[in-house]
Amino acid sequence: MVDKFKESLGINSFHYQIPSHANKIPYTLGGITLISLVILFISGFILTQFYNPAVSDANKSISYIKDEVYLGWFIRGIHYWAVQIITVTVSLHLIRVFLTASYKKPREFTWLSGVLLLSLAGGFIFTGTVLKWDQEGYEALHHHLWAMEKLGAIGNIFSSEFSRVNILGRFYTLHISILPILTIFLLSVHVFLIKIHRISPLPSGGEERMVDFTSHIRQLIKYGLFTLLIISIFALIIEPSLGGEPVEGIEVTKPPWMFLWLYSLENIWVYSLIFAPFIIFTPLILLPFFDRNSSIKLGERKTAIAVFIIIFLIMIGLIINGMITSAGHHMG
Amino acid sequence: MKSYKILLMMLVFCMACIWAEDAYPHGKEKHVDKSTETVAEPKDKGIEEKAVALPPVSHEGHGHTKIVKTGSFNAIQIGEKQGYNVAVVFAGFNAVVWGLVSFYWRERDRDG
Repeated sequence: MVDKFKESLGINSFHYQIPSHANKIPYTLGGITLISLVILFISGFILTQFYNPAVSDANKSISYIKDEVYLGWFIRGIHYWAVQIITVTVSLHLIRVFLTASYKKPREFTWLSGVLLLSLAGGFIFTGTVLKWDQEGYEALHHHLWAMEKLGAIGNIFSSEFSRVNILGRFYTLHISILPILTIFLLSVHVFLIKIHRISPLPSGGEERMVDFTSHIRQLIKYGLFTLLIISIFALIIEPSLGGEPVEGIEVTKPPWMFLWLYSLENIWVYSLIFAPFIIFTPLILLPFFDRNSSIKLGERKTAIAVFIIIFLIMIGLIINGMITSAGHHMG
Repeated sequence: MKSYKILLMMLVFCMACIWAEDAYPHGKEKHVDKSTETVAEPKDKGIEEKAVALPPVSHEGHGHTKIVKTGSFNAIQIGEKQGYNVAVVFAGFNAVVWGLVSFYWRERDRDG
């Protein structure tokens, strides 16, 4: 009976060989991110039942979720902590892919879809911050509108004047509909390309033991359950922040920690808000097409590794700087 | 049936019972004095207040300060939230399932 279902559902097609290093933690970070994303979608779906994107009620509806809805505080906590986990695992995944040169031919488009997914993750976090509609969310929106205004015609579609529908409602649509659809599409492309090109080899080379792909799925289930456990424990102990209704015309908050590098740059030059994302994402997108060194060995990629370490240290430095500096006024 | 499967089913059943008891306490027709029931914490818990001088554009009566409520992380006190025990059971259940799955699959993964 079970065998018949396995045959009908094509489960037997999962029995193919992959190298054993695919089951090591560095090579399962993408899978852990995917599982965290599922947790994020499920918790987000529950939250949408109680959230109201009207300007007059958005902040109150979150207070209602955390104080009145049965287990609402827990679901909100899971949603928030899943985002933190995803930010960490995605960053580590990117670092691993770079260090093992997994972006090189023939995996250029796997890398490209990954970078686009990273930008979508940024979009999710940004829109999610605005949706809280507290002082932090309001200021984030204010910065966004300022940047869109400076971009002129290009930024018009993202400005508040583009539509008569309030911008919070449009951000809500982005957060729960447009971004998830784009994410699912790109994720499908990403996974499909991994299947086509197979798991990238170890930079150290050599013959490797092959294992069944189902062992990789079992490994992901184990790590996924552990991730859910960590998220649950955080949600049980620490409640995500939520401020009161925003006050116009002031800047007293800082962005979430993953945007602090941008905040630090903004402290130096306010137009960094527009240029810095382009400066970061353009080289990331072009990396596999510009890096013509065919070697995947660490020792033979000294320049690339040195540049990567410098950029990494600058980012960490900017985040720490953003943490220790006090909130300041940027917008005119 | 394997013992771990029986244990898993028992865990699911126990968790469902605890959740049902917590979510529907009036199902047993207990007459509870509502004034003694657990109530949610005040809504502004976890809110940090900052006194800032508002610019003229945003506030007509400029020149004086107004309290702005910004968010801050809040360490949850055990048991103060609605359904806290259910959330703890959920986390515990997850820990047990993770432990069981890891233990059961250990041998198979070692063999590849």
